[in-house]
Amino acid sequence: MSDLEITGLTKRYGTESALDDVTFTVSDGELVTVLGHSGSGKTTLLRSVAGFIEPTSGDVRVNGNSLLDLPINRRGIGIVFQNYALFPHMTVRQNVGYGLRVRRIRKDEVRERVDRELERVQLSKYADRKPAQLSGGQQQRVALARALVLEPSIVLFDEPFSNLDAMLRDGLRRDLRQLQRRLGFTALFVTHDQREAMALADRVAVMRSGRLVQYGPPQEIYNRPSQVEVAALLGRSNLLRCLVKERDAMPVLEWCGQPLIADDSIPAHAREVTAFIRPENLVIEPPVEGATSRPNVITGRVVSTDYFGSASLITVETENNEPILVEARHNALSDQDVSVGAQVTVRIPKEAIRILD
Amino acid sequence: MTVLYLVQFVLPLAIVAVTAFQTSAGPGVITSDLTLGNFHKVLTDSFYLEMLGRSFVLALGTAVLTVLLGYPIAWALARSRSWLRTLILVVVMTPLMTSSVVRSFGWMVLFDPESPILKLFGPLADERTGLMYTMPGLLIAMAHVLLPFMVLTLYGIIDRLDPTLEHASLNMGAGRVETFLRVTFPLTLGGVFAGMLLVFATAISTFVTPKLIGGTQYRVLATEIYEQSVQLLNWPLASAMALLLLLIAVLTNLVYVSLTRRIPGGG
Amino acid sequence: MILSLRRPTRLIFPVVVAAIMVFLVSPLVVLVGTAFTTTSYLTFPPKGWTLSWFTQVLRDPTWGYAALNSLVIAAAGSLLASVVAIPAAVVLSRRGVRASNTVTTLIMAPIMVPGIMFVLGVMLSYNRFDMAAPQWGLVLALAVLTTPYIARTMIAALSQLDPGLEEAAMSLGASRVRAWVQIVLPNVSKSYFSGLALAFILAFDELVVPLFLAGPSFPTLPVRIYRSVAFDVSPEISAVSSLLVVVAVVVATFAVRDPSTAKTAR
Repeated sequence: MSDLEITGLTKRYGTESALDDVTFTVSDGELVTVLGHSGSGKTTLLRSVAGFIEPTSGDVRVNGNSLLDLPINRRGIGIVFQNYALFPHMTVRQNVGYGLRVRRIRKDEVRERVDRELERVQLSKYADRKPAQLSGGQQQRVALARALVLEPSIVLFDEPFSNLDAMLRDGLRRDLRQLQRRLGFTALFVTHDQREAMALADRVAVMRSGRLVQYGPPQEIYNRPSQVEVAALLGRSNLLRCLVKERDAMPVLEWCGQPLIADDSIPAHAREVTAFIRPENLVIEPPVEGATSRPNVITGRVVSTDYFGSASLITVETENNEPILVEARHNALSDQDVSVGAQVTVRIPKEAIRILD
Repeated sequence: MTVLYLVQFVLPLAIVAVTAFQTSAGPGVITSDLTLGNFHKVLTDSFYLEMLGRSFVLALGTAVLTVLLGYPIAWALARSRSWLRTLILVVVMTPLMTSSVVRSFGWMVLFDPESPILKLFGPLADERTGLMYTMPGLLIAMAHVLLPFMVLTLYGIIDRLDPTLEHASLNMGAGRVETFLRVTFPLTLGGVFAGMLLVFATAISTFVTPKLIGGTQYRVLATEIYEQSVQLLNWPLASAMALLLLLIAVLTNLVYVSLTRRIPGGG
Repeated sequence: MILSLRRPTRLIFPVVVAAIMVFLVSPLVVLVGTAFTTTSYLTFPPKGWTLSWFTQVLRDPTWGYAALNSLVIAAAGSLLASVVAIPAAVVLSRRGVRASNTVTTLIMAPIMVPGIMFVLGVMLSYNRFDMAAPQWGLVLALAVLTTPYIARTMIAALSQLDPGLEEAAMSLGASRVRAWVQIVLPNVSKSYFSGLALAFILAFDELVVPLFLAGPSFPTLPVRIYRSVAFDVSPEISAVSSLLVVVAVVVATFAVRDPSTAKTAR
């Protein structure tokens, strides 16, 4: 059982807070991704847990015991670095065996465990090569093996796939997820890639300006972002600034004079809110005469169409020159004309609207 | 470590600084009367003024000459491929790894009036001594001694230049010469100045080459310091000259540092 | 590029470069040439062909003595310089060290201070205490002069090294000392040896330091050559010089293989 508990973790440099009162728990065997832009504090968080940075206040606990008083080399946390940090003067085998040798484990046992680990990451053939003779993907696997051979209960990942090309990344991500489930270690995975963050995670911790702004399962983060900024971090979205009007004693939204009805509740006393709508939840329909008066229906002109194979991203400009992004699957479009210049109607399903303040 | 630096580096410099203001009472004897006389002598006596001027001209001339000779080599070094680059680097580094006594000796042989090579320099040479004990000879030998420093400085700059800038200029219709004069050379100007200051500072305190090639006619600061301190044992005068030399070196270095900080390509 | 010969004007640049390269090697080539002459005076091109000057040098114990002296003080000086330079470089290359600018300036200062002033100061400081400069005084002076070269090479190498290596080693359980000894230092050893080679050759070739500090009973090779060149030149000096040129070519070729030397040599 290894729960990783982070409470009130804060790191200040002068008056700047790199990390501001961050609290969350990673349960045993869980994989949590920490998502944020550069400067969001995600790297500071990881380095504080690893012990490379001493936090100003707060605590990091494993199974209830604080790590902060332990030096880096006694924390027993595995780390996979962004640039792998493989020892250039050692072979793959020596790299993977380094931690075991430091622990004064018998030579034959070191050999046995290293061999097993190399087999697991499919690098047995390359055991006697130097890191410089390996491809990026292979180096990444050596770094993983080097951390895992020590059987750590907690492993930190510092953007380990960011130097690899997209195709390779997808495969490695799946392998890592399987391995993590099988071995059952608790993992904290820092990344700025929202696709990666969502695909890997049991839960996602979204960081912004040193603060933890949302923590939850990927679906929740994607569909119910807590802030405009979180919404923007996770893929494309339409963020429509709406006025709150009253109609029949019920609050309704009005965007550019167009009424919008939403399932989501409107916060009391709010005068202006942001309606958040994912492009794939919008529906393009043929133009209808007099559509402007109907709620949740917007008419406009297609100004660009980006073809992605399975779907197209269509930018529709309304009469008020406001852009709306619609992601439409081709089978849903049938023979609808969405070429540039075409007049279209965009329908906003009321369950697709999330209200952010 | 700190002790070594204090005793073996800071203390000696301090002693020179103090001695420079003391009075010589015959060879090897110093009285502790404080005086500005040593500086007065060096800065007013025509013999010493001429020597100072000569040191400046020699160092400056060497700096200019090393730029002229060093630029093409540095350019070739930065723009050529493996085997040629290695060859040029070995040719540049070998003199650097050779004692300056040996190098100056080589020039003495070349500058001998009997030497067939000397005929190349015809009008510059003296009938009786060849290029020995002449300013052109001294300049040539000094430039040779310090050329590797210039080449390595310029190479560092030129090597970091983005070659696409040249390609862009050529693409816009400029010729190779025009591209060099209007794009490449201005971009390396910081390095040229840095290299010149480095060579100047080194040249003005160089001892061996002026001593062997210049002889007694072409006394410079370093040879005169040696003369006064080791031969004539007038330590206060030698110290005063050494302090002047330090001043020149420090000023040159300050300019160098401010230049390399300001110009990103410099250094 | 410089070898393309499409237009005759393209030839100008390679010819200029070749001429300057000839200029660079000419005094060395000439020296080696004169060492083989059968005449008792220096002449180039050599008249005749003999190795007798070389055998004479190798048989003369005073040359051997001078060479041995130079070897010993250069080795001791550059090793002592390492003892100072390596810890200094280790400290200076770590980020966030306060006063690192002051220390850097102090370590690098011997490059900026004119050598002749430094040596004069060392000589005068022995004089002040009424003592002759001891032989280890030569070693100390050479150590101070060559420390910057080793320190600079090491600082460059250490700051180019990924700081993640040390962190990785520690995350795998190594102590800081162990991480340095097993991971960091092995990865900068190549740069150290090229810095050491440079320091050694500079100390070996140094003329002014022994000229001021060493008495006639302790000649070094450059001093011995200097005195001979200044007073009686003979093909024997050429032979000694030729041997040094050969050493220089070997060291230069070795140094060129490590790209960091070219940048730190000056």
